[in-house]
Amino acid sequence: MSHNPASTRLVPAERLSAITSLIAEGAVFDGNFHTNRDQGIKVDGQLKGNITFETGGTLHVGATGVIENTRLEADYVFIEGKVIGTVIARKALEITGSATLIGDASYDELIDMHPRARVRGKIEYRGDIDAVQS
Amino acid sequence: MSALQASWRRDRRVARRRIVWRWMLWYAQRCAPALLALLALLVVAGYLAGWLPAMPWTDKRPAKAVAAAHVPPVAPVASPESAAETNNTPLTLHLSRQLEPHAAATALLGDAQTSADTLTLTPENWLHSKEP
Repeated sequence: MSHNPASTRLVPAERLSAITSLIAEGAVFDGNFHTNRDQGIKVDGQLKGNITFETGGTLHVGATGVIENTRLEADYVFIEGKVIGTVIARKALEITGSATLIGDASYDELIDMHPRARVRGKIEYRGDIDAVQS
Repeated sequence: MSALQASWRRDRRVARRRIVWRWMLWYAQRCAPALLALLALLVVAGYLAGWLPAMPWTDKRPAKAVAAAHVPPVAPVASPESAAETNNTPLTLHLSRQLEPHAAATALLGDAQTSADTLTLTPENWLHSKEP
């Protein structure tokens, strides 16, 4: 597990290690991905469609992954590749320095964005903005 | 699980390369004027100091290079005293055969002169003549 990229990241390592679905590099998936279970998916190829985790869920867009015309919704969203669309992270959103996000992103709890990340869109915090921080 | 680990390795490699490129582009854009000015200064200084070869658009080369290119080979110069010691034989004049007109040239010149004097229309060239 030493190769886990999230060992020191915002998205927990165990969440990324629990990913069960993979769209491999070079593959093109055209359609929607939807589940009610707390699972995970990693996209290294190209996806044209939506990804929705009703509860839980971890979405990892790899460095070679490209997602277009999409609406992504999961508890944890970890973006290293390119996403064109709307991203909703119910718990944590992480955008690395190799990532490109064209579209709006919203998160409920945590966000981490590398200074070299390319984001063109709105970042919105969906939690209580006046809540007292501990 | 092995596929996931391979994917992470590939992610790390691609991401590192992409981030390095992004940082390099950013630094290049940020420091471009200073880098260009420094490069131009070095080129000018090098040209003035003669470190650089001739520019393709100029026909002149740096002074050092021109001087080095046009220095004739130095021949050993004998002093007049030593020359006087070695040349003991007196100078004599003699007639060189090369200065005389060559016998073959004289013969050719004489033939041409004689043929021009005796040029007349012959039956072989009457069609080319303008004479009626």
